[in-house]
Amino acid sequence: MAVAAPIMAWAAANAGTIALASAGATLAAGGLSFVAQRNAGIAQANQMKAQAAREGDAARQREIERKRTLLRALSQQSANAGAAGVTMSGSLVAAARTDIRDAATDLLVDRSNTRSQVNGLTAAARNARRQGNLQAVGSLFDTGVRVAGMM
Amino acid sequence: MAEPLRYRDLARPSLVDTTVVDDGSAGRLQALANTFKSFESAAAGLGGQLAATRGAREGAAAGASGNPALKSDLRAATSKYAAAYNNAATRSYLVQAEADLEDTAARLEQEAGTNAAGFQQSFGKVRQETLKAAPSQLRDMLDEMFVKRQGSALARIGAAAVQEQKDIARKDTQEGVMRSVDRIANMRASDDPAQLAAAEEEDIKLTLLIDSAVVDGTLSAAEGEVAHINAQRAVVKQTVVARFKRELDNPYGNPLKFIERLREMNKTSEALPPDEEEKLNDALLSELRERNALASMGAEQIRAERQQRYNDGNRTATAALLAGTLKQSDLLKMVEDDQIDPDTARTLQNELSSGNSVQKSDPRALMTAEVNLLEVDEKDILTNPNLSYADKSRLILKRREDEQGWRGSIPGREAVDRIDRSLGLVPGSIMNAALSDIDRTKRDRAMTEFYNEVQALPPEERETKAIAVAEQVITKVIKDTTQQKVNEMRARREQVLRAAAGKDLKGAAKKEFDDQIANLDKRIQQAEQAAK
Repeated sequence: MAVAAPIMAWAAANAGTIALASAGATLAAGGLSFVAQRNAGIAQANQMKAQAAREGDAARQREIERKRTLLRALSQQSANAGAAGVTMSGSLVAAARTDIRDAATDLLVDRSNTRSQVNGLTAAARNARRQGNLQAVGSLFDTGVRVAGMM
Repeated sequence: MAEPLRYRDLARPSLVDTTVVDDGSAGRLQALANTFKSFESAAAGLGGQLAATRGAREGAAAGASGNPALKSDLRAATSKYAAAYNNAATRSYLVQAEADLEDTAARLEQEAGTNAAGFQQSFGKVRQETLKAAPSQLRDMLDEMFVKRQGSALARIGAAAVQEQKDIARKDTQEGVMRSVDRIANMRASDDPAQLAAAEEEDIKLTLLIDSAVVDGTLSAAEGEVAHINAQRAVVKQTVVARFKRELDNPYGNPLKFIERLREMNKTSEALPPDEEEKLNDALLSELRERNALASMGAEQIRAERQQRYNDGNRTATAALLAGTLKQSDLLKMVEDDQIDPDTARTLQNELSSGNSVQKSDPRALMTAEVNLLEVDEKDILTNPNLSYADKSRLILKRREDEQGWRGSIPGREAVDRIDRSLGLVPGSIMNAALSDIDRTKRDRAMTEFYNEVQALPPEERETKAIAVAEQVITKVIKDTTQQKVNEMRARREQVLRAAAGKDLKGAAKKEFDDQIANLDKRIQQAEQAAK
């Protein structure tokens, strides 16, 4: 009590100064929160963009693999026909055409899937940045209200 | 031929990806919604505070007006405005009601005095009317205030009633003690043995009276003790005073000797403390002085009555002398009956025996007496040897008449005195034999003019304008006198010049002539200045 009494007296005598200091501290903290919220949004957006890029790379890798597999199947079919002394006609050609069509279909489907994923991730990146901005603005508004309440 | 290797043997078909990638729009929109929510909360808070402020202000005003018109409980629960309004109105109304209650209660309490039932009745009526007019939500609180205030007031009234009863009892006791002390003192002052025995009985009653007052709580034990002592001292003092009065009433008594004896006794007695003895001595001396003053007043009254009787007798005898009907035997009887001043009787006797009166008055003495009637007394006129009896009689009667008119009034006498002073005479000295003939003539002239001027005025204005007329006469007389002096000095100067004409004055004679002329010129100049 003996120690608290002079402190309380000092606080009472300097109430105006203390109120101003508190408002300043709240304002500074609000500014820092604003920056942090905004940076968090940007970071998340960058992460989404990187994931979209990785999805694109993986799609191209899968396309190469599918083309290689198709060539392998066609080469095998051609080799078997040569060994048997027959030409590539009739059912053999039909089989080759079927394989080529299947491979093309797979490619189209994969491309479609990849495009969808990349678009989604790109949009997520954009939205993450906007979300960060909105949260930063909200934080700044709250800070303003609090500071106004101190005045 | 072996089965050819097919593409499907090596690659599984690609399936359409049905999973939905979270594009973050939900989070973004949620953030947007949260931001708007913050805006809405802040705006709602601000609006609520504004409404509460307005409600508090309006509620306070309504409460102070005596008609708070409180909002319903439902509104108060859902509206910040209504809640603040009700709080402020209730507070303001109760503060106002408490102030009014305090004023009313104080007034009723004062009016009731020590009548608790009366206060309860009047205060209950006020309480009933106030609660009837109050909002239903506040009646309980108001009623509580009334109950508390009534309780405190009744407690005070009760205490005041007890105190009043006690004061009455104390007063009765004091009065009883005083009466008993008076009786004892009077009886002890008597020399009658029966009275002395009765005094002893009365003393016992006095003791019982004080003791019973102590027993019933009217007096404390210490007060009772003091009352016993004071009563005995009062008995002693009053006994002494009563005996002293008897000493004063006794024609052969010696009050001063009584006081001396008392002082001697007090030196050895312990009946009274020194300061009380001093007071007793003062009281006795005061009584003595009062007696002497009364006796002196009686003597003065006797003297005044005798003077009045002498005045009447003097007039009667003087009138008889002037009428020629006064006899020596009448004078003797009046002196024996103390009806006439002996000096006046001697004067009248001398007049009777000497026949000191002329057949015809001296005109100069007659005029002097006529114009100075109020400046002399009747005795002066009566003994004036230059006046005849007929003129004396006439002048005395005229003087009596004048005394009743304006000449006898204060302004009339003051006017005459002013004229005397302006002429360098001592007022009232006109009958002084040392007065010169010149002064007497000058005064007679001024007085004649003064009386003529005043007599020319309407009777009702004479007294009020006497002094103003006197001032006019004074101015005129002084001016005339001064001018007369100037003329006399001029004539004297001419006379000196004529005497010196044709003479060849030299030396001392020339110097004396010049000084005389210079002196006359100077005096003429001064007199002319005074005349202006």
